Amino acid sequence: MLREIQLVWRFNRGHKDAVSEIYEHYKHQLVTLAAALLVDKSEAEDVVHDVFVGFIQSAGRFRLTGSLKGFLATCVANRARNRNKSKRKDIHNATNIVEPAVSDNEHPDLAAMFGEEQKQMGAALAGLPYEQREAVILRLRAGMRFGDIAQLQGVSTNTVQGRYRYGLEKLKTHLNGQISL
Amino acid sequence: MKDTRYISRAIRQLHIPASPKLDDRVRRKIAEAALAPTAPSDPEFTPGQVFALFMKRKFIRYTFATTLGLVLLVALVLNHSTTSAWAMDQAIEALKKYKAIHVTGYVNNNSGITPLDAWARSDSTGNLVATGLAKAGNITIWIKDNNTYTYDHADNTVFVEPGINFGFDFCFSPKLLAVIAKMKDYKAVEGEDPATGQKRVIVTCSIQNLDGPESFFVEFDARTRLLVKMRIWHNLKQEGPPKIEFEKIFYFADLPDSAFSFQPPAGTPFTNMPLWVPQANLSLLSDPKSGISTEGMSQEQACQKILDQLWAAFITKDLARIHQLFPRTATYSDEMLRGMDDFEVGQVLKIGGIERTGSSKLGPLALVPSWIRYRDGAVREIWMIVQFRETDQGRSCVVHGQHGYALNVKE
Repeated sequence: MLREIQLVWRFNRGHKDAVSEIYEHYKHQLVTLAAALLVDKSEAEDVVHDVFVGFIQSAGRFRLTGSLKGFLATCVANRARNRNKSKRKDIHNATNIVEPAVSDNEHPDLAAMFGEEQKQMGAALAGLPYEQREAVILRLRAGMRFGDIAQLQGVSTNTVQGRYRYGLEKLKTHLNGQISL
Repeated sequence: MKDTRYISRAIRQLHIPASPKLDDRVRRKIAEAALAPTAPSDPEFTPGQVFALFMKRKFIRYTFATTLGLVLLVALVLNHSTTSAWAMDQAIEALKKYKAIHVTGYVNNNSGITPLDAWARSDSTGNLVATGLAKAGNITIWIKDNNTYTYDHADNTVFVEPGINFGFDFCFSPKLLAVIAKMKDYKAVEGEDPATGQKRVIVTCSIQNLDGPESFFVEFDARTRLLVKMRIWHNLKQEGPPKIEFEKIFYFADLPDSAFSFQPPAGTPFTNMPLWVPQANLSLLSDPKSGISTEGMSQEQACQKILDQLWAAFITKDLARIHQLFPRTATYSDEMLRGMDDFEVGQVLKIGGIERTGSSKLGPLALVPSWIRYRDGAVREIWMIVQFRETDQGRSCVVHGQHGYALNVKE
């Protein structure tokens, strides 16, 4: 935490090595987070790229009020959410014209993205409605509090807790092979 | 059967590495970026100083100040000698060569961790701050002519308060080191820093303080005997992140006055710092059994009376009366009370009038100076806050405690 403060302090004073250090330190965590949310590594990397571009532009006026990791995770979650919305819109428009899109859990890139060991988990995550997936991932992977997730999703904490609980139940069901999602 | 625990663990263990392509894209953006330093207070820094941000608001500064102040207050009474080969006396002697310090570190408060950077020069005793300057994002504090000035960049206002309320008074002073050496679980371990090869002495100790438990990690340079790092926790076992961390401490034989000067922007309004007390202290201050009745008295008269009685109680060592007039000492044992500097009071020279007023939820507050001659002959000016309140027993007042730190003055 103290290191984060130092890095932000130097970042605000124009030290590029501070941004580089921040990127190197968090890149894998942020890509993992974005990929788990979007179930698409290419898009996940675009999100992380955009987050850092935005972060770089805030140099000199960036104020850290919590942890840097938490801040960057929230940025990733917001951008992933926006991308998901526009993707849904695109799919909706496309399905009106042509044919149904491939469902998330049939995503061909899952093994490449999550690896063979985690492929099953990737498929299970892909099968969750976005809001539930977001609640589960932000809680378990990003370590965010339900209240913070609620703020991000624009719903009550109870709703987020419900989404989290339903999400976990569906993952459990899927992973135990009881019902196909 | 995969349960929730398995799922939670699996999600936490997900790892999808960033590709070299992403690395290239981001690194290119970083290289292209023109990261202009626009931190607002930088131009006002003295060249060569690396000032950072710290205590954003006065309540945070208060926490910081009281932490250090109370450490001293309580710890003085804990007589416990160390058997370590490390002798604190040598560190105290080493410290006496220096009159000024520059400290960088962090304060951990409710709003997060904030870097701290400050300069201070001691008085002739080496135990009190004579002047100082501390800067932060929105806050700059400096001392001039025995007044404390706080410039709030956000409000573009300078708040003025009488006395020295800087928060560094006891820090790194010979007195503080003597206090640390007397803490009951004091331990000193000598070792070597593997990174630098320098020999270090690590001292750990803890104390049950007025406002709660505190523990300390203090690092000395074994060669120079100077304190080089210090961490303070608000628990007895150094658990979690420290509340305060002094990461780097630089010592100077002395520094010119210019090192402590600060000039707010032209036209900045100056105003009196509102007098206040922390909400956490109100329950102790509201005890109807404490204090004195103020019925039929003006606030001036009441302040004179209660302070007169308090100083008399210190002089005669009437512990019960001190507890009664100064209820924040309720948590002090008799032994702890006897360790307070105030027990060295020899004579009250004068109790002044009300210099500043304010209010808390209990009622009006008054700030009153006293001039005291101590048993060692030193004369000091001490500012005390008196809390007025109205209880079932009628109107009364109690002493909240000292405001800022004692000033050595000439008779």
